[in-house]
Amino acid sequence: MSAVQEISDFSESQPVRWDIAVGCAVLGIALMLVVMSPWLVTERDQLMDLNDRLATPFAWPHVLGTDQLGRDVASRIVMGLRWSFATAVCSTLLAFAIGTVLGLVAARAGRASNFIRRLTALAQSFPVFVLAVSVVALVGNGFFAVSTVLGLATWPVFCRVVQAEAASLFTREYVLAAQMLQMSRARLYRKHILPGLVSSLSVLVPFHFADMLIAESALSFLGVGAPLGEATWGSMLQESRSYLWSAPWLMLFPAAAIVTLVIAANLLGDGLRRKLV
Amino acid sequence: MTSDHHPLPLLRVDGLTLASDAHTIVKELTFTLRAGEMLGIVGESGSGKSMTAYAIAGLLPREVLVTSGSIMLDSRSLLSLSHAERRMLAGRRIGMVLQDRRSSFNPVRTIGSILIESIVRHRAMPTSEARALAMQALTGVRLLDSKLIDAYPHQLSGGQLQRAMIALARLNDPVLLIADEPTTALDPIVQLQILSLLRASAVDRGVVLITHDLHVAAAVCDQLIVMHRGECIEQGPARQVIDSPEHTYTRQWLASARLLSSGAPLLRSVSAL
Amino acid sequence: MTSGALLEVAHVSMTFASRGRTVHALRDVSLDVEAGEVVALIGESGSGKSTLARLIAGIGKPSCGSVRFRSHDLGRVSKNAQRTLRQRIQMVFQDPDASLNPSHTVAAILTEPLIVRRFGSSDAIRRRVAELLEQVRLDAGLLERRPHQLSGGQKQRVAIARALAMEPEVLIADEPLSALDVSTAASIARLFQDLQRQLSIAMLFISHDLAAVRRLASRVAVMYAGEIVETGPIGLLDAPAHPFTRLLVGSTLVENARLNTTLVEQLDAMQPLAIATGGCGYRACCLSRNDVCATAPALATVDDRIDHAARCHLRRA
Repeated sequence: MSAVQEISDFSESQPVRWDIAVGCAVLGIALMLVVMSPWLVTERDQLMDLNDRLATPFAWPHVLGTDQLGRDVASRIVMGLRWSFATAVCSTLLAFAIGTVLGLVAARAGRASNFIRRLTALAQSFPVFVLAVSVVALVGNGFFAVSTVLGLATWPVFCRVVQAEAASLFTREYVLAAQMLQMSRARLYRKHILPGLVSSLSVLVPFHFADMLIAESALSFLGVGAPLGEATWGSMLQESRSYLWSAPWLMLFPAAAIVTLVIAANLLGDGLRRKLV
Repeated sequence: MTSDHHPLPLLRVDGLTLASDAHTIVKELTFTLRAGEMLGIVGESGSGKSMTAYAIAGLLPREVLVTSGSIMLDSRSLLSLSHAERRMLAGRRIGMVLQDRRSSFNPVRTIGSILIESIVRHRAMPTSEARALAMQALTGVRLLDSKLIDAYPHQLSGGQLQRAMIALARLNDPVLLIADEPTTALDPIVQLQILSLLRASAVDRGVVLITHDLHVAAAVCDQLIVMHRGECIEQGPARQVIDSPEHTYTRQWLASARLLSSGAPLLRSVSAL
Repeated sequence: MTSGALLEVAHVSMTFASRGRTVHALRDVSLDVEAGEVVALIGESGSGKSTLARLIAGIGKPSCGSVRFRSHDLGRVSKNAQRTLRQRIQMVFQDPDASLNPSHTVAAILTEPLIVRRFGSSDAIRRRVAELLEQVRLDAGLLERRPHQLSGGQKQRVAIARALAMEPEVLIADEPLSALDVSTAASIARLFQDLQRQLSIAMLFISHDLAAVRRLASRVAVMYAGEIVETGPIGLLDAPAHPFTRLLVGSTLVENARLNTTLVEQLDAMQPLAIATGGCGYRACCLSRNDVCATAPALATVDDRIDHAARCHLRRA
């Protein structure tokens, strides 16, 4: 059953799956934190306080402790969430946009289709990491650099799925019947093709989001992408390495944050897959 | 078509009732089948005919239970056997040709390997001998191309696949053969050949044919059972049921079937010559 | 081949490549359908009937030959002209489950063709949809349902209503009864009959069910391996000239007839020739073949008075 059908049949007593509920809840909370971050984390919270270095967590005012420069870990986690969430969302959207458009074009037979297929194979064979590191080395750090590179390196995933699904849709009798009505191409795509893609794409997006989270964390762990001083979970992990035994909370909290968000996204994706596909 | 009658019935189903949570699927079904006979169970979809077949073969889905009645194969009660015993018995003495052709064969294995595996599971013998037996089985269903034994299911046509299924079902010389909708989606000529094959299989065993097509049942069966919503509403020799049906439902159904098969063309072209 | 027939298929061939080999799906096929007439296309699977139907419907392009509708060559007219013309050729497919968009309501499915045609105001459209439902004998209460909530017969009726919404001059029905129950098939066959009588639509009725074909069609064309091997009035089924047609008719399980064992014996005794190159395409499986069949026969007249032709050297009615 298609996603659209599922959603519209919701009133017919379809219980919400626990994995979708948990995934949505966690991601929803994360989104709320991101939106409220200007109020939650003020300039002062991010200052270094060399008098209060490596304070242990679970004590007021530093609920998650402080790091080696006296910066409040909790605030940095929230700022890191902003960075990770934003880069993951932007890169996913970029990959989605490019991949879907190219996939739709490739679904119709023809020279364009062959060209796109080759392009996809080529793009997919590039090691994402090496590409990311090289591009950032050339272009410099920054939010746009990271998001763009990750988006440009991973669109083949969407392209392949969309191409396969759309090509299959064009062989379905109801699409043939719609074509026989001689409707405009826009209407055909709007009413018949795109709705048929919703299921697969709904499943792919959360998984891709999780992949982008991990990829970005790995990049900033290596010091690539985020500008110096920017609080990111990856860089926090990097800095925590010297204090693994003396101040384990410096590693544990960013790690837990990454893991929680990734698991939530994966749960959502998996739940949607079971429900829709 | 005369059939060789065994003194004792091969298969005896008595008061069989199948039910799942909400409702009864088959209600108090009773019939007998002798060796050399072909029994047709006809009904529309949802009439319980397939479930009856699964019950005999021991392939009922988990939710469906036998709430009463008995099934005796060669005087042995099938329902009182343990799961393991039932499976052994079913493998050797009952051959089943399932409805969904494509999913009955493992797509990544050749026809030959599936046949050989079935032979070897029930008899100890070297693979080369088993392979020869498999080839013989395929010839027996008129799949004469020697390359077919090494072909994959997707390389066979619908008719060829159906023959292969019959070969697989007959492989270990079962006493009972159950065929569930063996001719759906087959062309008329192939359909004819498959039915003839099943008819020939009935010579030394009992065959139960499940179908929704009355013509199919009438063409080859000796006995007919008409099922409607789980109940057997008419039963008897095929000739009798078709020529003089007793139940209103049977009569209505025959009338629909006649509507489709009557010879007179009812439409004339506008520019009739 | 009378000139001026509503639909003229002329010398259409279609080949495509599959796994390194060229497949000849259609071979020099010619067929005419006059206005208001029902022509049945029969043959086994793989004979090309569906390919031909889809070609006429505009799905796929022939490698050579032409399809003319209302004397316009559909392969040559402008895009706009093609659109307008093709809207008058509609199709009902075999699988009712696959022919309706699963996420649309019946109302949406039936409204769409009217919107595309720019039928009129939303009121006019609503009224027309109600009329269409009545024509196919469906209850108005089904409008808000989705396909998965309908039975096979109901879905097929919706598919027919959708086709009728375009007010087609030619309706192609590709095995519309094959996926249905016996009683449902009977009522849909009846529906086709009534609609054809009321609206005088020309129909191309494809089926391998000879019984339904006898009931609905006035003319029949028999296909085998991409070729038309026999054409003529529906009565030819009682006295076929081509050996394949004879076999097809003989295989029909007519009610009250027992299995034709002689026929099966003959079929079994048939040793298929290894690759019959050249000559008659049916030679390999023909029960009456002989030496003259080594040259390919043309579609030649059997009986001029009733326009009965067969592609066989040994043709005899």
